[in-house]
Amino acid sequence: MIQVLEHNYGKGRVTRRQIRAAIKAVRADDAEIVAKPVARKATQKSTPAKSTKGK
Amino acid sequence: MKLSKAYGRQVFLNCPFDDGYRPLYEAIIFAVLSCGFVVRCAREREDSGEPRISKIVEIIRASQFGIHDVSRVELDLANGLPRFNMPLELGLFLGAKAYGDQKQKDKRCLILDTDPYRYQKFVSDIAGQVIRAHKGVPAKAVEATRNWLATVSKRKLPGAAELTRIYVEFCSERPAILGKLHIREDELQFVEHVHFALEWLQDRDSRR
Repeated sequence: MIQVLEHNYGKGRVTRRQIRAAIKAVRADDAEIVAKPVARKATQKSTPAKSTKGK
Repeated sequence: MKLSKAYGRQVFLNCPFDDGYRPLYEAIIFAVLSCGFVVRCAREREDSGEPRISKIVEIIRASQFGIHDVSRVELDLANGLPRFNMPLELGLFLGAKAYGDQKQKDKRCLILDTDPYRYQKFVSDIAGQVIRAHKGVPAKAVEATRNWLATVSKRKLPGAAELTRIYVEFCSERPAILGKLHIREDELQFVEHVHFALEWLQDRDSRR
């Protein structure tokens, strides 16, 4: 586990809140990609050939 | 002036800030922060009314540790003169250690260069100090910073290989996050870069 230490550097042009939101947005995008179901190709069941036995 | 309790956790970073050096300074900042230390630098406050040297003196005074990269002490192509800010700030740090009170005498510094013996050609007076060579490779700078902090602080820190792996992870995720912020990597200022790394590390930790 990594523990960081806070220090008051003042503000940048990009705020910490904006950075946090951007990280969360990327995480949400990643989660969406993972959760997206893979479209399966519909497989057609082949009907069993009728037996001609006894005909 | 009384020093804050944070003295033993502050690392003064004395390095160049040109675009060519950017990957190295970003790697060093990342290593310092992920080892649980505070990185201090002359660029943390952009105040035109404050003389740069007094800002540097104040930061050196407040930091027990210092990382000094002298790898960019070379002739400026424009005027043919050497860039000497880094050795000057290293001198201030060593002076504080030599002449200061007991707390200042406890200062520890890491000197980085591209090659281990290059410095002897331009600052031979620091011969005998341990110089670590990063060869201009960010991963080596992360490793050197981590190993030095582990030695001088006697704190339990993440391993060098683990830290390098986390740094690679950080670098691979950074473009997408910066894309959301509509900002380029080379536009990030020192404070923004520090905040970016802190937020990323905290987010990473919260997911574990």
